[in-house]
Amino acid sequence: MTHFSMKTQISQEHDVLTLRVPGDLISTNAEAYRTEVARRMEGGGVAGQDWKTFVVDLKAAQMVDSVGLNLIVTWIKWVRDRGGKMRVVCSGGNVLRTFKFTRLDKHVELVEG
Amino acid sequence: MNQRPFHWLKLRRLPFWRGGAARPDSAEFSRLFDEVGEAAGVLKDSEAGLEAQFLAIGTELERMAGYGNAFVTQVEKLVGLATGKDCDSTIFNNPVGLIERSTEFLEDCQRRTDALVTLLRAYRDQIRELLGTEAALRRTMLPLRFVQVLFKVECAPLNTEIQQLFSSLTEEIESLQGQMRDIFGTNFQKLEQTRDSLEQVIRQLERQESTLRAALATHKSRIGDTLAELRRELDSNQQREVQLNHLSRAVAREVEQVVISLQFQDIVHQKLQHVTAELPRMQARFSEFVGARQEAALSEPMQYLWQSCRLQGGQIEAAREELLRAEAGIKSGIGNVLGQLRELDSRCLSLEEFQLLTTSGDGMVQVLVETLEEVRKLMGESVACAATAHEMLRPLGSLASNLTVIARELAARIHLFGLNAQVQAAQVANGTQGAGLAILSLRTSEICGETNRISEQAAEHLDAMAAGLANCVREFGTLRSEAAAQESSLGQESLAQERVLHAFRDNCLETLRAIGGSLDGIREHAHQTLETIQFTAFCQGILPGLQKPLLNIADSANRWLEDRGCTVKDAHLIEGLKKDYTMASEREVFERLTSSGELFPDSPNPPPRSAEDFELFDALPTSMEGAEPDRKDTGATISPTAPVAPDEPASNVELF
Repeated sequence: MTHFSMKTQISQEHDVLTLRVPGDLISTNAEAYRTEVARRMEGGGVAGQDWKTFVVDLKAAQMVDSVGLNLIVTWIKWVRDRGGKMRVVCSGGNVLRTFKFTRLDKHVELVEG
Repeated sequence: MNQRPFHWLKLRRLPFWRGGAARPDSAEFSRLFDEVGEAAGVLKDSEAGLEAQFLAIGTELERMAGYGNAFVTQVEKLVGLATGKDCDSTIFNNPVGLIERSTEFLEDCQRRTDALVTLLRAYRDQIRELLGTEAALRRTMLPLRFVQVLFKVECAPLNTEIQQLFSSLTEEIESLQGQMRDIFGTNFQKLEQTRDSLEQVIRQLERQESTLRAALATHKSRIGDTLAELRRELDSNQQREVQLNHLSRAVAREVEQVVISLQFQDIVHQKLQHVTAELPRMQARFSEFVGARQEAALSEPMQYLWQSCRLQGGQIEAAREELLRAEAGIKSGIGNVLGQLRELDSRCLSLEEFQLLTTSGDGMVQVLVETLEEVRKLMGESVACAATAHEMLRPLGSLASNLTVIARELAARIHLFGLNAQVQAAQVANGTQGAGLAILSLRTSEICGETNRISEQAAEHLDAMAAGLANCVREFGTLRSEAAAQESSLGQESLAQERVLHAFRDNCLETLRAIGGSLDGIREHAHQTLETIQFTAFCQGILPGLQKPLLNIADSANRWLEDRGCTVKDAHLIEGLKKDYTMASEREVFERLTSSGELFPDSPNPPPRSAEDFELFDALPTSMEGAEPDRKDTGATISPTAPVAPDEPASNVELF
């Protein structure tokens, strides 16, 4: 499991909560992100603070695999259940194509950054 | 072909007329040959540029064809994945089977839990009844207090010993009442606690049952819908497969056609080489004309020049047409390729149904992965619930057993008390004095009997309840261990299935990305080809530049011959010219010219290429050898080549 520091990766400005993924979102690290984000959002950290938009910043990612997509879908549902909006920022290329092939661009706001 | 450079300047140095009258028309021819020489030099230079252009286009088309072939393979792979051909067809069936098995197990757990809850409700009701028994017992034993007072009244006139005897009996009655209060007070309080615990367990199980039932119903419905959709998609994929394969192969065919169009460069090149090779011969004949000493020797080289220049002009025209046709063919082919790519994009690759089956975030793979996750979670909850119920019920089983023992002891003592009272009364019986005691003893015995009956009944109920609760505890224990085993097995198997599903989706995504890459590659090289292709300048500038002076020479030669009344029907001369034409299209031009005398027939459409051109291109030496007897057979009588039907080139192309 990949170890990373989440403190610098989840931040909130006004009503926008941003998760910055520093690399690929793939099977080797997806579970760590799932656990950590759930802990931070529901158990402490940013929990309780008002946010309306959850931004997943994948600009540094070259690849999102099936397990990573599964996690994105989980977050989409989670955010939708809370009445929020989700936005994914990517640098184009493979990640953008992946979102289009999986039709996730119809479920989230997809921004090329 | 390496040709020795044509030294046109030599012509200038030739003496025009030796020993005869000056020949002023030689100067006109000389000037025209100068123009031919200049144009031939430009043609030679430009041919190198044209060849470089052909090479560049060829490279682009080769890459495009590579992408085209890769594209067909990738589409076939994707179709295979979507229809379950390439991959294991159980890729969806395995997780579905696992989910169904787990769901069945959970349903079985649900049924068994339902039955246990029904039992627990019955025990709860029995406890309510037992708690009612306490009041009945108190009511039954209440008269003992009066009996105690009456014993004291009846014993008062009797002697001290008897008074003490019945006094001890009354003390025992008091003690019994005290014990009764304690036992029923303490144990019925515990029984109330047991009832409360049972209520709690029942409520929890009911809650879980309700959640589990709803979740199972949702999953079953979702899986049912998904499976139905899978079957529909697999059916429609058979049709989609045909469409996809048809379109992807059409793209590859179009790319191939474009490549074939490009191969006309060799035909053009060959024609122009024949033209270039003829130029030195024309030079030689012109030299003969200039150097002729007798008037009779002038006509033959001039006839040659007339025929040859017309023929070379015709060949240049044919080469120009070939080039324009090649350019049009390449452009049209690339246009078709791009059109079919758009078709593929809109009709096949972007199909939502297709994505739903393979990669979509709300498609088959995602549904199965999520369901596996949720079933695992449900199984975990079921195990936890069974464990909680088991832990909560376990002390209730032993509590019920203690109460049974106490109730039985109580009943036995009450029974003994009744008997003792009767015995004591019988011993002191003495006429009317003992009659009261006997009645009291009988009444005491009746009360004790009633108490005993109620206690026994309560004990029986408690026994049954204790046994039932113990069974419930055991059943919950079994359920707990079975669910734990099932959870462990499901955990391992479902994770393995999830990995397979993720690998499948990754494979599909990779294939889609590769298809996207191939499409981009085809598009890029197609556009690059369109930008590179520039035959028009060559066709409109260079080739006419050479054609024009040749035709002018032919015109001049014709005028020269007409002025002298010469006819140009020398079969031997014509046959000599023909021998260099090895390509079918060249012979066709030749025959058209020699039979009709027209250089450019009035036809809106240029004659299509003969199939033999392609054969020559494919196997030039063999065809050239084969063409030789044909030329000999025709001899001096040249028959026109049979016209080629306009739709024949397509079938000719198939030869490749």
